[in-house]
Amino acid sequence: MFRGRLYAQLFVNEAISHAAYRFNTFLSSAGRIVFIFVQFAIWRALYGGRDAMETDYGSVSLREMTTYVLLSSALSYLVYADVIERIDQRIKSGEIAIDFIRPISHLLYHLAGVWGGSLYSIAVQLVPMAVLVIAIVGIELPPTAGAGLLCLALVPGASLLLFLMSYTLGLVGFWHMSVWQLGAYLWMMIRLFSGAFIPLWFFPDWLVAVSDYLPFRLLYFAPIAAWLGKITPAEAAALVAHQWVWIGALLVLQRVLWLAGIRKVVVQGG
Amino acid sequence: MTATVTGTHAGIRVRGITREFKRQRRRPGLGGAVRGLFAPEYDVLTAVDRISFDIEPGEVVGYIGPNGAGKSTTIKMLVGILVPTSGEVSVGGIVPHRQRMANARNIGVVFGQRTQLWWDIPVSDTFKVIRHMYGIPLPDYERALARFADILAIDEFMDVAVRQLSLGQRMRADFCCAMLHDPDFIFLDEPTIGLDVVAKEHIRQFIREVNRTHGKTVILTTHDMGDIEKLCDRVIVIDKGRIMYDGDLDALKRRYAADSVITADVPGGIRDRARLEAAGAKRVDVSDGTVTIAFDAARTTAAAIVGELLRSNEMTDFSTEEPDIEHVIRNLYASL
Repeated sequence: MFRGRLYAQLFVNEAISHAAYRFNTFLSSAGRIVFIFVQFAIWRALYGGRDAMETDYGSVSLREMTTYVLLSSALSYLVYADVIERIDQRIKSGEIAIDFIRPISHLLYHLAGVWGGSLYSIAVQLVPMAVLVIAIVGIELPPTAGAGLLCLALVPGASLLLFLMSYTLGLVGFWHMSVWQLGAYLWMMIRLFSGAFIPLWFFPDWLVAVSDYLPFRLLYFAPIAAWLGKITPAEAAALVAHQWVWIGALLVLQRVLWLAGIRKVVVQGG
Repeated sequence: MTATVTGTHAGIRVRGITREFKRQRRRPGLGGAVRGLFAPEYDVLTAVDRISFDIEPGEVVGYIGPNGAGKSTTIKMLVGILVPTSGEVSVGGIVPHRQRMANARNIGVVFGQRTQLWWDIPVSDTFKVIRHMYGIPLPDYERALARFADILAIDEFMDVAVRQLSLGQRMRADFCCAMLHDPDFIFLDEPTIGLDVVAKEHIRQFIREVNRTHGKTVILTTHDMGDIEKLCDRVIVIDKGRIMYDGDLDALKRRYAADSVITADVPGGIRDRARLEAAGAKRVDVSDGTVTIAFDAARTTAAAIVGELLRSNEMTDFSTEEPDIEHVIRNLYASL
């Protein structure tokens, strides 16, 4: 039974909880904006005065790279899941006990929490940041309305996929108490393979071949490349399908881990 | 269906449950730590060892024992958080760890050491989540809230974020939270820990009310003997994972009763000890005109001792001290 009202309320509660830590929010926003301009400077230096570079995905202009950075920063709010840290903390403190005595889906509980937190960040961090950066450097719009729509179609899958990757790793905590290190590994893989910082079109061929077998490019590269019109509608549709195949596989995997894990979990503290 | 291998039972039924934990053996020093990393060795600890008991609907049972006795482990198995290594549990006909969701709807749990309220939002918002979580119809929810908010005096801090509540307020809100969905079984793990006398009394009144008026079955662990004395008709004492005593509180008191004590001011000292001993005194200690006399209340009375003190000595003042449950439990734990 899916209880929408419950998860909606959890979602709202999480957003309200975040509002209690305004100073944190302010620091985080400031840091991200600085980082965006650092990336602009890096790409300008790498382009070394050229307007565009030739890649397997066609010519990529410096202006498109500026938009790439902006979109990637925006996606970092939408495609975000701190669920490993959440589970890790609840196992270490023994609060996991509370999760187990509630008639509630553990997965949806965390999904509502993560997305509720994201909603807050989008409203108070992403929107002001986007307005500011677009006002200063502008943004490259999608070449066609279809490209824009394909980008939008890839975002929910990207967000859910990242959540499920993190959640599944978090469940490993039922066996090994502390798993935040797994979160660090996941983030390393994402940084390298997702295109969050370096687009796949600048990868050597062998690295592209490797990343084709991994789900990470579906998180950042796929929606951004769709927006910039660097992939065809057919390719974008295939990427959406890829996303949902991975999501399906992870849903099965997390269920197996959950059923085995609840037999193993040790609740800390008296 | 709620039928189980143990058969349906309206109360709580526990049959030979055991729970073992593996704990890594830590070797001293850096070398030990490195060896532990590559070749960990484990000790198997038995926290709960073949425990059996039945609790009938409407009972209030105190589940007590020294620290590390296995109380919390038992509670965790009853609420479905831990899976027993062996043995069978059923709560209202439901096997907690196998039917986690069904069990969750049937039980209310309060852990004195941790809260189930959302830390950064007002109490009232937590209650709203609880309402949706258990699918409580609005009229039922409002009725329950009105009733509990009144007994627990929650209204005054209903809109305050939980992190800003005092421990006493937080516990009251936690109790309300655990009761909103009208569960049949209430599990309380050290519910009065850290509370002041007034807050403790508040909580005890609430537990009594919930049991007497609403017929809820209550099982509570505690180190506070006031909780036991004021709430429980029956106690189960556990130590090193085994049940040491299971029965009514009065029988426990009789079995492990401590001596009653009379303290009297007798400026001239005691003239004749033999007559006091004949009146039932077990020990007579004198220091600086103060006499402390221990006696067994089952064999003699305070009046007999005091009468004897008056008859043959110059007594100016006296007080008596009944053996309280603290003493009973101290004697009991000491005998374990």
